[in-house]
Amino acid sequence: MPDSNAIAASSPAKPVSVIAEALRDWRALEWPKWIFVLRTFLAVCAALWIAFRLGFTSPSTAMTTVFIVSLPQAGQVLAKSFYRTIGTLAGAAIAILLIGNVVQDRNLFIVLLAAWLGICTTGAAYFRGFQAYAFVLSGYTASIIALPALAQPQAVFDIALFRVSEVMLGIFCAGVFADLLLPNRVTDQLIKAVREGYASFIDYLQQARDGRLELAAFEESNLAFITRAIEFEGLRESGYFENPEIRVRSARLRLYNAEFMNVGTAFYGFYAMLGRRRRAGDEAIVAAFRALSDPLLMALQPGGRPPANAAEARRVLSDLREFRSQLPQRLRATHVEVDTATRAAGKAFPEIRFDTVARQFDRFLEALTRVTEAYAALDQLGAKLPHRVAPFSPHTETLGAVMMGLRAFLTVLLVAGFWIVSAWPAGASATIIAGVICALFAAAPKPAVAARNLLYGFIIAMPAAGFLLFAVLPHLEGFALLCAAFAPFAMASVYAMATPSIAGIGLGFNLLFANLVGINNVMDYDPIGFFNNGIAQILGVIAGLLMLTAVMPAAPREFALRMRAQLRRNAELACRARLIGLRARFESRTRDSLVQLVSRADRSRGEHLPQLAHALAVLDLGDAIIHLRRAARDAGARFPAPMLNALLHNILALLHRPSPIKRAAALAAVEAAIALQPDIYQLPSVVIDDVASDRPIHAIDDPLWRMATDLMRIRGILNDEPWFAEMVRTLDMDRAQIAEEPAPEDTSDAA
Amino acid sequence: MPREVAIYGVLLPTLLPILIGVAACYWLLDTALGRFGFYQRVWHPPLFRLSLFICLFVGAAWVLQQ
Repeated sequence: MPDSNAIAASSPAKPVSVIAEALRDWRALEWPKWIFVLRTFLAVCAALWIAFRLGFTSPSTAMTTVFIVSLPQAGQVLAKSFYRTIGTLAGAAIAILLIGNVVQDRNLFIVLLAAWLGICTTGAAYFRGFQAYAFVLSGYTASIIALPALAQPQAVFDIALFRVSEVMLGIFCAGVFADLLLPNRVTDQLIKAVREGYASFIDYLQQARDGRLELAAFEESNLAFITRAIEFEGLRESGYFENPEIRVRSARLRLYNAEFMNVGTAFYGFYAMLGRRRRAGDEAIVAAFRALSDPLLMALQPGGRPPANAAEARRVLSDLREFRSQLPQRLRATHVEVDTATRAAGKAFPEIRFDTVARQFDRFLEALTRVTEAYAALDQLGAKLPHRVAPFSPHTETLGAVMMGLRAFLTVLLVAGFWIVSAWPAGASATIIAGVICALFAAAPKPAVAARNLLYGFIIAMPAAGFLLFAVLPHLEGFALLCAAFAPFAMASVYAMATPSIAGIGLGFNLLFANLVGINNVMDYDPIGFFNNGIAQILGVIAGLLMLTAVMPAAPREFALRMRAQLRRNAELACRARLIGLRARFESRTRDSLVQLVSRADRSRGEHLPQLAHALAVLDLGDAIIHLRRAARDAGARFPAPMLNALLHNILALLHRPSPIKRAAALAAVEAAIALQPDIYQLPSVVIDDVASDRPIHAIDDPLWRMATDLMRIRGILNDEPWFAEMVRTLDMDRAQIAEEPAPEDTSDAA
Repeated sequence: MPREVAIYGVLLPTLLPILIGVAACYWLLDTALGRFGFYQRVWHPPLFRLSLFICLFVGAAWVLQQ
């Protein structure tokens, strides 16, 4: 933390420097917030003024829009605006369709509207970032247009047209101010993220090389890299709208991000393998590959630091390619050392194990080359993309999203049912808000907390709006005074929105405040309507909150079980699916699983770390299996299909429900496959012998050798005690939770 | 230019289709300018982009009014 260091360094300081320090802190932390507050307030005033001039029916919608799309960075505002526009248009179209076709049958109308909200919530929960917001908005807009139009169907088109115009006006004002008035740009942050991501990965390699990476830190770093990749995707999405230079690089940035995640998992595979070799007592091999990493790190940090831009990355890239092509020669040097060291210790030299690690190291180098290629390609717009990957699309798992959609459907039905049965005059507002709560917080890691914050904001907003509406506004004349009256409320709440811990309260305040004050050219002071509406909306939030906590709450246990099922499906894919393009498909599924795991994880309880370790372990095994299957395909009759099938079957059974017996069966199947060609395992190292023909490791296409190294890798993974402990630990966690809450299913294993 | 046009019997402001057309053209032009690094030679790119859009929109509306 540079800030705290700076403060600590100057602690016995002169008063002047303390003040200077405080000022600098204020400049760093508070200044951007106040700029944001000022910018948003000016945008609100501009939107209101234009709405008055154009005679819109509810200028407060334009005002609310400004509040909602106002985010600290210009690109975020533009991206959210774009998706808000799409959501609004889609919602308006659905509202007109619904009113046009089923207005005669009110019950059918309510059911269809609830179904639409459910569909939108599913979309909002499935997608992440601003796309999710488009779904929230289309559900919300449909109900906000259609419900008032239920009483006056012929007015639906006017309501829709005004709603769309007001939203567009708010978007326009917010966008112009965010982009022009002292803007805070995503572009800068994105460029920084590219550079820092690459540099921090190299730093992580350096730590691993120096042996400074404890297991917990290793897991934390994996988590940090995946989190970084998710955030990077969000930045890219915002930058797309902010800056055409980012837009034309969008595909390149995507490639970079996907490769960034891949290199993380590739390094995991290599590092875990080295750990296994160390635990198995092959210190010589570990030392040999550690020695190799010095020239690699030198190549990655020319002049002692990682590349700072794409041009420097190109230089690193050529060094890296050279390093990889010289790998066999370099390995020959270390091989001699390993050989003498093991023979001195009186052991047989593990040639095939050496080859296995060498091949894994080469795969890691391949991933490293690819991410560096993607980095170097960022400023070469004329050239073609260096290679393609499946796009990185962070989203939630499907089943969870569908369940959230069902919950929103149910919520709207229940609240609307209550509204109809009790003939509640303001029931429509409550229905709309309850649906919005379910959609808006569907994908939040802690939906109940977010909804509660919003509720606090609503509760504070009601007396504030009442005070402004009935005590202040009647005495004012003119637009300037109106803005002055708004200023303290709007500024305080926007300031709250800029403070992460109370951002939800600020947003809730703004939503209800703008709605209740309902500012208009001809003001309508209606205390009864005010109370009805305000109380209805607060009750709507409470109803949504209750549904979020009571019906299918975000239970870590269900989520963990679904994630395990998903990992199992990934492993099944590796074992069963057609081999053509399988590795790319497996990689992209891997990314998806890791992202889902990390983005839903409740960080505070640390539960995600064993899950993440489990996921990485399963994925490591899956990768090994794909390589083995390819080798077996090329080996043809020399590796009989029944044997391979038995092996895959046993491994799948183990992943399905880990137990010592299943592990023994899987290991026995691997040993049987190894016993099939015993000679291979006694041969001298192919990697070393191959130096004469100057072939890089990945070009060695002897299928039996490839098969042998893959079998060794799989045996290593299965034999790995920490790996197995990880598998059983997550299972035990699930079991413990099942035991806590008596559930019908009993997972006790025969073993 | 009439203030409103009828599309499938629905009256819409005439400026709306113009806005949509101009927005599409602007998007292409903006991307092309970004692709060839034009914005690196501009003093204030966001201001330039906003002005460009307004010029295109007003220009198109004015020309079509004739």
